[in-house]
Amino acid sequence: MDSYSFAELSVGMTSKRSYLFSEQRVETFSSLVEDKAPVHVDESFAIGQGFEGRIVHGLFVQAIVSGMLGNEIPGPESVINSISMKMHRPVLIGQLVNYQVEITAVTPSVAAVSLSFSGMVDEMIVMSGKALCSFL
Amino acid sequence: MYQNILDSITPVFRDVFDDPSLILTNELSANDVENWDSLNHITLIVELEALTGLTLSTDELVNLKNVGDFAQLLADKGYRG
Repeated sequence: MDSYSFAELSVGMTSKRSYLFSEQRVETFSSLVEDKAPVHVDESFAIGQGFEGRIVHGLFVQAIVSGMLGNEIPGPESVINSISMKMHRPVLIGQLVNYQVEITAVTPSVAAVSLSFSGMVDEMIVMSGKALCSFL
Repeated sequence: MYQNILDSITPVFRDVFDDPSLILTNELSANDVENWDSLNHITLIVELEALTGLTLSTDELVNLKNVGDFAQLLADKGYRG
């Protein structure tokens, strides 16, 4: 794991990660946050709503970005000030999401880093967002 | 004093501190705004640098006591609102 000081960070730096939303992981997340909405746990219900199958919780899809922010860029010496996300398409259980986080601005006066992030399934974007992190 | 600057930066303050009725005055300081904590202060400066196109330094920020000082700093660096 790379760990950067604030001075080492610059606009355009990226990190990438792939994450498989397996049935077991989704069930674990569902239990942790106590979200048993049928679209996540009931296959026939999800299909009846027009999905191809059960879909992953949107905040679980976003949560993987937290690990990337904390472990890669900006890294373990930073905290999230704000984060926003848009879901473009549902993520189905069993799909692999390829994430990318990119630094869009660095603000030395307050040791802050602005980032954009996105998740892709194959060539299709499924989520995107922005985050502001600051160094401790 | 620097009313154009205060008018220009008011939307940023209102958004960051989630207070649509916040009125900026030269005397307003962090002690007067409920949500003006360290995390929101960082967001405020990032948003204000983006708005003004200016790059500020830690040394410039550390001695600011109120909004009036901040408006003065922006004016000194060429921002007119």
